[in-house]
Amino acid sequence: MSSRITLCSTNNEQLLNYLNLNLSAGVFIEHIDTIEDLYVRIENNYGVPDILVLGIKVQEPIRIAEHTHVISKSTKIIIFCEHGQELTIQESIRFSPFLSSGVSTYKYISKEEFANLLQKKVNGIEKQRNHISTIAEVEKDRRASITNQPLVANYLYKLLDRVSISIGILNVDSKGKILNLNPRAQRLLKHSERKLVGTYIFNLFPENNSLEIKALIEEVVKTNNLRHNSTMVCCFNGPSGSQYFEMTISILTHTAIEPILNIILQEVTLKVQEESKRLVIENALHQSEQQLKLVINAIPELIAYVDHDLKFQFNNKAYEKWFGLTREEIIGRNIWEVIGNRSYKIVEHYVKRAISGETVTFEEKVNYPRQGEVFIRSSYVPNFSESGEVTGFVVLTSDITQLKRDEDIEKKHMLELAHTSRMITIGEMSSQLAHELSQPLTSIEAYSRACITLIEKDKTTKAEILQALKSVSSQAIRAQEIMHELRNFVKKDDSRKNICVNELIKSAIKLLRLEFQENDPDIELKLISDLPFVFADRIMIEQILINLIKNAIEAMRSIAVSDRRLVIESSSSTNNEVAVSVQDSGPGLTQYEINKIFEPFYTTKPEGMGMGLAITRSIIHSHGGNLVVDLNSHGGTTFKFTLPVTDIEFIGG
Amino acid sequence: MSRIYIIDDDDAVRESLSMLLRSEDFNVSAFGNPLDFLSKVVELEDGIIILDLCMPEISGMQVMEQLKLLHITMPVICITGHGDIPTAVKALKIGAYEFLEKPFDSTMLIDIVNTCIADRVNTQHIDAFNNNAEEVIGSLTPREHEVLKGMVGGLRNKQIAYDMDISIRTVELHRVHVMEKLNAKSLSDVLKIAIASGFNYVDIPTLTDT
Repeated sequence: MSSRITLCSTNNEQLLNYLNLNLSAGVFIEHIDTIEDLYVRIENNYGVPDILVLGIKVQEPIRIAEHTHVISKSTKIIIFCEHGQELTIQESIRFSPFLSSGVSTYKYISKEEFANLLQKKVNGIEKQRNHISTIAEVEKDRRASITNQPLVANYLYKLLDRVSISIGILNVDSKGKILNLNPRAQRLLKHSERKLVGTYIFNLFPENNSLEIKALIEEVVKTNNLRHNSTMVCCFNGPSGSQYFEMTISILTHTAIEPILNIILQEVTLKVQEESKRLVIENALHQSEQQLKLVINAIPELIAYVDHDLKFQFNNKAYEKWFGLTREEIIGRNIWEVIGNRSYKIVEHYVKRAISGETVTFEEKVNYPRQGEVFIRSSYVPNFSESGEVTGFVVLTSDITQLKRDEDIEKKHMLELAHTSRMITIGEMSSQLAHELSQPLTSIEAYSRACITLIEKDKTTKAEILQALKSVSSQAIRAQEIMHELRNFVKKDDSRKNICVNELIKSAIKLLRLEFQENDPDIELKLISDLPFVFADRIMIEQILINLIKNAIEAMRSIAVSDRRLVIESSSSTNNEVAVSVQDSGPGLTQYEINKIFEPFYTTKPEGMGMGLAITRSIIHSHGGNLVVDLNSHGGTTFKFTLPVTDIEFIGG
Repeated sequence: MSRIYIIDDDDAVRESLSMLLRSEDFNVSAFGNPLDFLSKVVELEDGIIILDLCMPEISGMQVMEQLKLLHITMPVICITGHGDIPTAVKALKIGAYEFLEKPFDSTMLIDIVNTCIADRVNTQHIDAFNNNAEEVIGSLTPREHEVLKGMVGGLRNKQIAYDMDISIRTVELHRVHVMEKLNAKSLSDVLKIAIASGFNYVDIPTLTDT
């Protein structure tokens, strides 16, 4: 924008030309003849000069300057004056209420100097003009930004309103009085902006929350740090029940005298509800876990979990009690460190099977460091990861020592009972037999005696004797029949099966185990492995073995412990027989005893009936075998019985 | 010639005993049915009864009871195939003259029958025996008493030894002494003396038990 210089004076072409040539390019210089033209222009605000030069010949220059400045204050005015006039004019300028500093006097010296002056003024004007335009632009920008600001805020509000998480924004003063808030905040707080602005934020909440919010605001104000914010969750009693807000309070600005706080409200009702639900579930879970723990700890069985590295991960109270260890002493330890190496050796292969993914249940006699020898029944149940690998196994162990003992006692009782009932049967049978046989025997004896007497007295007839002898004969046959029936009864036993004598020997030893005393010898077994089956009554042969082993052990109780030796041998001979011998190293038998030993009612034992070996022998005979007794090289006694391999019919004896 | 009544349901025993006793010149009447005998007994002449204790319809014990009710005082010799001591004690207590276990030596039966006949002639002997019994029993030592108690109770020597906590040998010794003191030849004699003395160890089961 160019500067306009208006010269109001007598026309001086030469000066004008000079100025046109020497002033900067943007300067427009004109000449007006009358002052009226200038006024018209000023009033019409058209062609208002930036610099007005009033020549010497111009009348009343002060008045013109005043007139001009009333309308256009920015116009610089230069008043030419002659020598002597200067002071007067300057005085007038100074005292004129309508003139500003933009009026100066000038005493013409040369056209060059005048041009310089003008140039300086123009520069000044242009500088000022630039300055003003800059200010104007800044002002314009400022105005623009002021008009834009609500838009941006609105935009932000809308944005915040539209995001799925409800975020309410409020600005409050340092006392908590609401200054403004976004629509979401209004919706959250269930009131319009009109109602909310000017109220205290904490009054909207129930008392306990209210105090808390108040305290939080005070804290934030006190901290007075833009970066600091405090968050709390508060409850809001909305019309549709309790709602929960997360309230974040921070300082928005502290440039003002009073800091303004910004509060962000976020509804977290669902979250809180979920949280409380989760708490309830967690509580229930915890409770059920406690109950489970209670149950697991109350179970007298030992329960533990062993991981893949064979280290304990879990154990119940019974487990600790059993081993006399604390949980810390068990968890993380290897199995063998807890149960002892001796016991681990026994269960090791079960452990390996469990680790390979097999569920194993077993009964074993183990030796625990604390309890010593105990019978346990254990189950190892492997646990699999989702990928199917064995992560460890659950150990369930119970002490069945007492159970075993009871079982054994019961077995023993059963044995005794079986033995007793067998003895009773034998007693009843022999009593019955005695009665049955007593009749024919009595009559045979009486007939015979009668015949003898009559013949001696020689007062009988042949017919009478014949009749008597016939009766004797028939009574003898009657006795035979009774015997025959008895044998049939013995033979009637259909409980005979193909059995392996070796197994019977083992089971007999097992049954006898409880009868063994501390110093009884271990039984040496010399069993041949491919023993043929025999057809026999399992129970009876087992009972015979028990009797023979018992006899052998009892026979050795009188000799030194180191000399006690018990050998059971099985063998099979070429003539289709299986032979079993029971050899002891006891004091042995005299020849007299050997001769008498199988006789009924012969006994050396105070409580014995003397039937054992007699019955044993008859049972063996009824199986078609034989039972013999002999002295052995240890000085003791050997009982040896044989049983035929095939089922042979009972033939006499 | 004395009359002998044999009551036994077993034909062979009954007939053989009849023949035996007849061969010894006794008058023998045999009854296979004890009820038949009981129905006729009041009319029968005096004699000796040989009675089987084990019969199907009515037991020998009951027959003896009936005889008592009928005031029949004929001596009864009991024979049985079930020769246990409690039965013997019971029979003797009821009033049997003698008790014999089948099978028995027939000479023994004949001896008993003869002794019985002699006793009936000489009743003083029986009185003397009864009077003597108490005195004889009184002469036993406490140990011998114990052994006698066991014997009368039907216990075996072994059991007596166990009960008294002494050896079987000692029991046998005591037993010999008891037999000697009682002048008894058999267990039956011992029982008779014990019963005659009113020996209070002799517990007799009631009849209905049989």
